[in-house]
Amino acid sequence: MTPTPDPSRPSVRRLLPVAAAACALLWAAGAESAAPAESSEPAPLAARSLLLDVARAGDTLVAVGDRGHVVLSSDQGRTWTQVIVPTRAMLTGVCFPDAEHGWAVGHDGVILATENGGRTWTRQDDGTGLDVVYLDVLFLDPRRGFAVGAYGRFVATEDGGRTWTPRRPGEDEVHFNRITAGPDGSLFLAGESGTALVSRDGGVRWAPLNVPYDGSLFGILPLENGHLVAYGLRGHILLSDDNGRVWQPHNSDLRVLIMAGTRLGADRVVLGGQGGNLFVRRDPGGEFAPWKPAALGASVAELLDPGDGSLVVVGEGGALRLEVP
Amino acid sequence: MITRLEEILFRRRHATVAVFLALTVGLGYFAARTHVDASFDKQLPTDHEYIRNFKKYQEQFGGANRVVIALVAREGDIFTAEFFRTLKAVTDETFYIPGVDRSQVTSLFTPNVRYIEVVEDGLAGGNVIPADFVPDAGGLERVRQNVIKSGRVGMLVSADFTGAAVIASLLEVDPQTGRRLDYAAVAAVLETRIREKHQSAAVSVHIIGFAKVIGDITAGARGVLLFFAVAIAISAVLLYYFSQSLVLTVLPLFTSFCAVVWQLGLLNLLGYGIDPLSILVPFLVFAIALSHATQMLRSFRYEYNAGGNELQAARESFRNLFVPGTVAIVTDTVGFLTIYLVKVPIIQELAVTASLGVTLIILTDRFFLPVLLSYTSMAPEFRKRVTFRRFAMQPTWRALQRLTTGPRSLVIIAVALGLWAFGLYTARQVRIGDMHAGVPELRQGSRYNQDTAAITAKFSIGADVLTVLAETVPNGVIDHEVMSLVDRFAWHMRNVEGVQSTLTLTDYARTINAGWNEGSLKWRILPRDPTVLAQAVSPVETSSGLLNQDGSVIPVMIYLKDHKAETIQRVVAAVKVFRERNPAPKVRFQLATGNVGVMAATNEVVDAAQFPMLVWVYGATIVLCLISFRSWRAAVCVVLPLMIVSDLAYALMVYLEIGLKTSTLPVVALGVGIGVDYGIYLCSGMLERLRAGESLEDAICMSFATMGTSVVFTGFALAIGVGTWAFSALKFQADMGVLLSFMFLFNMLGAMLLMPALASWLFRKQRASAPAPSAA
Repeated sequence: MTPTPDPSRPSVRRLLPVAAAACALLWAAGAESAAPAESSEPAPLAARSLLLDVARAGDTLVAVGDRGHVVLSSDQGRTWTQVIVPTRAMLTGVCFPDAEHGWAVGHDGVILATENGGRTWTRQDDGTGLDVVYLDVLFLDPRRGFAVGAYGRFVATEDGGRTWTPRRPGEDEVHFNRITAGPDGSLFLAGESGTALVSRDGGVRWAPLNVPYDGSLFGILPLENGHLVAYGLRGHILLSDDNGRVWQPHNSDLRVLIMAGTRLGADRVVLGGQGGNLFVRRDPGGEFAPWKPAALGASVAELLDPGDGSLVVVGEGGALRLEVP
Repeated sequence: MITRLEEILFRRRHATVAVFLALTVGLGYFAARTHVDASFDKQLPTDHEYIRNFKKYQEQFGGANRVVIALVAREGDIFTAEFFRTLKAVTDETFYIPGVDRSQVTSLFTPNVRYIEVVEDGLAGGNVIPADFVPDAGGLERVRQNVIKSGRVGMLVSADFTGAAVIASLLEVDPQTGRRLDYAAVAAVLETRIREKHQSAAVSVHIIGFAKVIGDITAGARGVLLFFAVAIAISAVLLYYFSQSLVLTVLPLFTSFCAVVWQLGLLNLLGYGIDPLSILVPFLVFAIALSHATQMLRSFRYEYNAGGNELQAARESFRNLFVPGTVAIVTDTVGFLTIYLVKVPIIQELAVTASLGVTLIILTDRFFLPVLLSYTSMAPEFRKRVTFRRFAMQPTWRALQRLTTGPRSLVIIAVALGLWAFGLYTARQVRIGDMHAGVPELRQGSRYNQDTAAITAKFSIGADVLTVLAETVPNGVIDHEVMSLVDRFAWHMRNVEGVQSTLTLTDYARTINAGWNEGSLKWRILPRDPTVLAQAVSPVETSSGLLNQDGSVIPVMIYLKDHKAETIQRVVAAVKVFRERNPAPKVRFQLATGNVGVMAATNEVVDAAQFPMLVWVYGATIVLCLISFRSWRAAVCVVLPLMIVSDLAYALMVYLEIGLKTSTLPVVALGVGIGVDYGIYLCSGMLERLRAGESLEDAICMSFATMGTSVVFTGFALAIGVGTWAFSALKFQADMGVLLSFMFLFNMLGAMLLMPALASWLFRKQRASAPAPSAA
C-alpha cells in the first residue's frame, strides 16, 4: 500500500520560467529589515486552525501555531481563548519550565517570552532574523533554555533569553526538528538525515546516537530507565532499551510521517502524525498499534497529556481532546 | 379627436372587426411559437463593478454558472467498488451535458485533480485515481490516502467520506455553434442521464445549480398555466354573475385574451421569449385588461339601460371611458416602464414586455370591445334584471357614500394613516436578496432545496461561492509580500460568520512547501525566498483555476453557508474592510465572481434602484393625474391610497419573508399599475359630476353606482382568482399570488373607502351640507 509516485507524471515539474529572474530579487526580501510593528490578529477560528505545539503552564494549556496564534485553555483543552502576541509569523514551539515563565519560537527568527503564564508576550529577538527558522524550544528552568531549528540552527541562553549564544552540536547544517529532555537530565536532539544527538552535560557537548535510519527523525521521546522512542518519516519507529546504544526498528506499515510522541499516564505511549494517524503502545513491552480516531481527520503536530486521562492533540485541525481506548 | 376615432371605428365596424380579428389570428400564430427563454447572463446587472470583473475573468476562471452533482453512499463510505463505478460513470456522463465547459469538469476521476506527497527523495505527485486503478481493497485505500493528500476533502469528497462530487461549469453560448444554451434540455439531461440512470440502492444523487433551478421552475411553470386557468375560470363565473348575460361575459374575456395573444405574438416577433420568472406578466396583462373590460361592460349596460340601442350604448361607452381608460392604461404603462431603471437585463425585459402588453389593452379593450359590443342584442328581460339590481344596489351605495363622506371619514383617514405609519415602519425591514437557504422560488421541501441542504451539510463547498480576485503584478504569485497578503485575506474571510471555507493558491503553496520539507506541518508557510516560493507555486497548474498564466491574478474562493442577503452583505463588507485597512500597491482585491458575486451585485443594484423606482412610479402617476384631472386634489385622492397600499405590500413581504430581488422588485410597480385604474375611474366619475355642478355626496354616490360596481367586482374577482395561487407547487408563484391578491383587494378598498374620504375633505366646498364640527 505504499503510495508510489506515478512515473508517467514527473512530480517536480519545471519551475515558473521566472524563477531565475526572481532570484535576482532576493535582496529585496533581505532588505525588509527592522522589527515590524505587527501583531497577531484576533481570529475566532484560531483554536481550530493549524496549531503546532502545546505545553502545560501549571493548570493552563498553551498552544501556538500559524499566523502568531497563541491560545490558552484553563479546562484541559476543552475551550480555548486567543491572546494577541507581537508577531504574525508561524510559531512552531512552546515551552513552560514553570507555571509563569514560557517561551515560544517560530519562523522569521521569532522568540517570544511570557512571565505571566502566557497572558502577555514580548519579543526577545530583534526582528532582523527573517531567514531564521526555529522549529522547537526547550527550557530546563526559567534561565537555561535552547531554541533549535533549520540549517543547524542551535542557540542557548543562560539568562532567561536576554542573550542567546549560537552553538554547533553537529557538523552538518541539518534541520533540528525537536529537542527533548530525559528524566535523568540527558538532552536529545532529533533532525534531518537520521540526526540523533545526545548531551549528558546540559547541552554543551553533543554526541551522535547510532540510529539505523538515515531519513529524517522528528523526535526522540525519553522514558524511564534508559528507554527511548525515536520516530520520523514514513512510519519509522525505533526503540532503544539502553540509552540509545542499540536500536530496534518497530516501523509501522502505515508509511506516514510521525511528528509527535508523548507518554500518557504511567505506561502508555502515543505517537501521532500525518492524516490523523495515531499509534498507541499500551504497555512497555507491547507494540505500537495504529489508531485512527474518527474525530481526527487531519495531521498531528503535537500530543500532550493534560493530566486527566485524556489526550490533547494539536495539528492541522487545531486543538482536540481524545479519549485513548 | 375622440369623435373622429369613434367615427373611424364604428362607421365601418365590419372592417374594424375584420382587421382586429385578422391581427389576432396573425399574432396568434406567432404567440403559439412562444418559447421559454431562460438565461443566466440575463440576470447579471451588466453595469455593476462586480459583474465587469466577473465578465473579465469568466473565461479564465470559469463562470458562476455551476452544476454540482453529489453522489452519496446510502450506507457506509464511498470506498466501495460500486460507488467508484458510479462516480466514474457520472463523471464521464458530465462531459456530455450540453453546454459543459469540458476543461472545467472536476471530480476525483478528472486529470485536473492531483495530489502531491513527500517521499524520501523529494516530492511526488499524480492523479488521485491512478491510471491503473483497480477498485479492490488496496486500490481504494490508495485512493483514500491520495484524496487526503490532494487537499480536496470537503470539496470533491465530503469530510466524512460518505459522498463525492462532480463539479461542472456551463457555457451559455456554445463556443462551436454559437447557439444559446437550452436550460430546460440541460435540466432534462441531468435528470434522465445522471439522476435516473445512476441513482441506485447504494448511491443517492443530488444535483444543484442554476440550470437545475431553471429546469425545476420551468417544470413548475406548467402548473402555473393550470393556476392561470383556474383564476380565469373563477373570474368568468363571477363575471357572469356581474353581467347577467353570457355574451357580456364572453366578450370581455375574449378581448382581454386578445391582449395577451397580441402581446405574446409581438414579443415573439421582436425575438423575446418568456422567462420562467416573468411568467406572471401575461396573466397580469390579462387581469388589467379584464379590469378595463369590466368598466366598458358596465358602462355599456348603463347606457343601454338609459334607453339607447346596442350600437348607441357601445358608442357612448367608448366616448365616456376613453379619457379615464386611456389615462389609467398610460399610467400603468409608465409604471411598468419605470422598472426599466433597474439595470438588470431580465428586469428591463420585464419592463418592456409588461408595458407593451398593457399598451395593447388600449386597442383590445378600448377599441375592439366596444365595437364588438355594438353587435350584441340584449334579451328584453336583461334590461329588467339589470334595472332591478341597480335599484337594489342603490341603498348600499348611498350608505357607503354616507360612511365615507360623513363624520366617519376621519376614522377612515386616521386608520389609513395609522396603517401607512405601520407600513412605513415595517417596510424598512424588508430585506434585499434571499432570506432563506436554498432557492426561494421553490418550496423549502422541494427536491432542489433538499439537494442543496444535503450538499451543504456534507461538503464545505456548498452551492454558494464568492470569488474575490486578487489582481497583482505579473509573477505576483512568487512575491512573498503579495502572497502573504492574499493568505491573510483568505484567513480574514474564513473567520467571518457565514463563511464555510476558503480556497486559494496560498493554501496549496503552503502545503507544497511543507511537502518539500518532508511534509512537516511546521513548514506550512509561504517562504520569503522567491526561488523557494516559486518551487511551492510551480506544481499548481493554471488548469486548477487558482492562478492565471502569468501569475498576476489569484482568485480567492470563499464558500458560504448560504446566500441569505445578510450573509452576503456581511461577507462583502468584510472584503471591503480588509481592502481598506490593508492598502497594498501591488494587490487589488476585486469583487467578485462566483454565484454569490452575482447575487451581491444584483442585490446592490436592486437596493440602489428601489428608491428611484418608487419616485418615478409615483412621479409619473402624479403628473398624469394632474394632466388628466387638472386638479391637485384629485391627484392626491388617487395617489395617496396607492402609496399606502404599496407600503403595506412591502410590509407583507416582510411577514411572508420574501426578499426584494430581481423577481420580486417589480411587484410594487405592478401593484401601482393594478391599483391606479380603480382610483382613476372612480375619481374621474366623481369629477365629471362635480364639474357638472352636482354636490360632492351625489357625485360620489353616482361614481360608486357606475364605476364603483366594476371596481368592486374586479377587485374581488381578481383577488379570489389570484389567491388560489397560494396552493401552487412553485413557491415563487404562491408568494406572488398572495402579494397580488393583497394588492387587488387593498387597492380596491383604498379606492372605495379612502379615496372618497379624502375627497370629502379636499372638495369640502362642494358638499351639500357642512360636516358637523363635532366630527372629530
